[in-house]
Amino acid sequence: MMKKGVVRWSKRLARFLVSRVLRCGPIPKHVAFIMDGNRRWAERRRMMRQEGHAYGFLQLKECLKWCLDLGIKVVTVYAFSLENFKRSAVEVETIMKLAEEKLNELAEERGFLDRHGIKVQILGDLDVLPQHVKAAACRAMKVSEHHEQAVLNICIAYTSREEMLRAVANMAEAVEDGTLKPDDVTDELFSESLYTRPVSQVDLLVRTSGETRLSDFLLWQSACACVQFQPVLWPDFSLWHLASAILQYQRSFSDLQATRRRSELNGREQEEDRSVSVRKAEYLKRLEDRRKSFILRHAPPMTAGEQHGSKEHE
Amino acid sequence: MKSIKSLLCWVTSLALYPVWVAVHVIFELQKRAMFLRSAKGPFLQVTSTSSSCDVGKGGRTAGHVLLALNDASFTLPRHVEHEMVKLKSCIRWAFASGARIISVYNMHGWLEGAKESLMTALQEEDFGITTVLIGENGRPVGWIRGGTFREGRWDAKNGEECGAIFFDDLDSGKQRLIQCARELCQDVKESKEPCQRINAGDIEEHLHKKSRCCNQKCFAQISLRTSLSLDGHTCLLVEHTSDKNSASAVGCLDTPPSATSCSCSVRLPEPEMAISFGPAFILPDYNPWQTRLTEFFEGGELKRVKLADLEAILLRFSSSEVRVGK
Repeated sequence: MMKKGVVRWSKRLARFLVSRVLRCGPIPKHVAFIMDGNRRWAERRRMMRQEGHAYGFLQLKECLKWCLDLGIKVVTVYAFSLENFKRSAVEVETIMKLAEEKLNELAEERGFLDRHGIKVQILGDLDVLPQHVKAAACRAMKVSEHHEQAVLNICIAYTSREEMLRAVANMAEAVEDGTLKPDDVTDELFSESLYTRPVSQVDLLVRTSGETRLSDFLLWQSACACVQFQPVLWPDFSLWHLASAILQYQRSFSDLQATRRRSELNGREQEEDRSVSVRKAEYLKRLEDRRKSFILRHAPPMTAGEQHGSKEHE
Repeated sequence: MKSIKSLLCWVTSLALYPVWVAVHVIFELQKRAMFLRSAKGPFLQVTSTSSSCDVGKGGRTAGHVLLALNDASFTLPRHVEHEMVKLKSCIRWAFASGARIISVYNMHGWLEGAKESLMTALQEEDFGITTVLIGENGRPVGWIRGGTFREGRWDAKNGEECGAIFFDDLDSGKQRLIQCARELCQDVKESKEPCQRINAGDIEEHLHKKSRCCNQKCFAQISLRTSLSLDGHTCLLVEHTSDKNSASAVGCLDTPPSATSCSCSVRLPEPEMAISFGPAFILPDYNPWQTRLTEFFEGGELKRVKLADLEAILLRFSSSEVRVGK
């Protein structure tokens, strides 16, 4: 018992020291994780695949705590791709049930979200999700929508191509009804039209399991990002792996800044006049209203506790 | 008491930081040495005379390789010149590995001023296969180890494998996607297409379309349909046609008298492999639509790249598996 306590205390101290040391250098504002390797991890331990996914979710919670300790403001994770629907029906159904369970858990653990001011955003083509998952996702978004300190983006039923296509279609719709003009389409407006608005640019992207591709994840947002492909499987991802990735980012920081400056110069348009800004603001407001109405339409009614929490914040 | 404690904490963290960085650097160097040691073997055989290149036996090979040059520190022409030597080596090794399309992409602009001299330098090379150089806007600018002029057309030999080196200018980055979005919005405005029907195919169509009329040097029609195909698709088709004569333009490297305009279109497949050269491993801002399944590798600084590094990358690539969600 005492040995366990000592081990726990040592781990906490190590975590504290690591986060204090790392904070001496620049900390990435937006970190993206491709949580790959849950099934392989379960197979190696002769467990069921769904157990691998469950452990993967626990690991996500731990990782989120480390990121909060380090002061990382936005964390985006790739939970389920549109391509993953090609898996067996049994596995997809299991993952959907797990997603619903964990999203409801996230909504119910208000303490954790409120304490750290975490806003949860579920990104992806939510229309293709089963109704129960959609409801859980909207519930998690609704209870945390007033938080502003940190953002957790969970990509479910997501691919970057679908996201970019949706952005183009939204802009085209705005042009069709006269809200925007074709020349209003810029780098900046495109970024703001993506699911990850307003913080689109990824500073550090980490993929586990040793694969070296992005697999249709944040393709636009990851341009000019520092990347780390780690051979460890996601459930084994530890604070040391995260620290190594952050350190890599810190060592690449000056090159990253120079690359970003150049990339911004390439995309820079002329100074826009007031009418363009007004049109863009109207278009972005419409996107935001659409998102909010989707959440309101699909979220279940709030419980008394949830209502009280949001009123307190107001 | 509390302020002394936090000051002590801050000083300790600051003192430990360089130690932490040193440990990390040693660990990374060790990991890299192990990675290179594991890839040792005659994977690529490139002789010192550039006349023969053999592709080693391996698993998966990349048909289209993207060489992304990310070093922001090159400002002087002499930096660029040194890099050209290394770049030519990388292109030769990439062809030797089985790649048939090499895209060279640089977002920092140092290639812009050096493109002419680089193209001239490349034309002196012999990569072992007939290669066409594609410059700005998809215009072919020359042949390496030229094809044969036959029946009024400048074709590669029948059945001969062809390669292409494509110099991506800054337009190949995100700006291409922006331009495509603008064009689609323009089509919607002119009611050529309702916005609800915009799909991935429309974006791809616009991305690949590159038309420009030019009255400058016009080359003979180059058809690589039979010589350059990946996965059964025609992936690179470069045509110049005279609007006065719909048949293929004649001549070689000179403006045919009948030609008054030309248009060209290039349809490049997605790069299967991208090697990022620079002091840090940063993802290039190459066309994001095309890098969905691209495998990214760190090439280190271009001036220090060696054949062993590329062999290690190729070995790694050959053993990778694309599951596409399954």
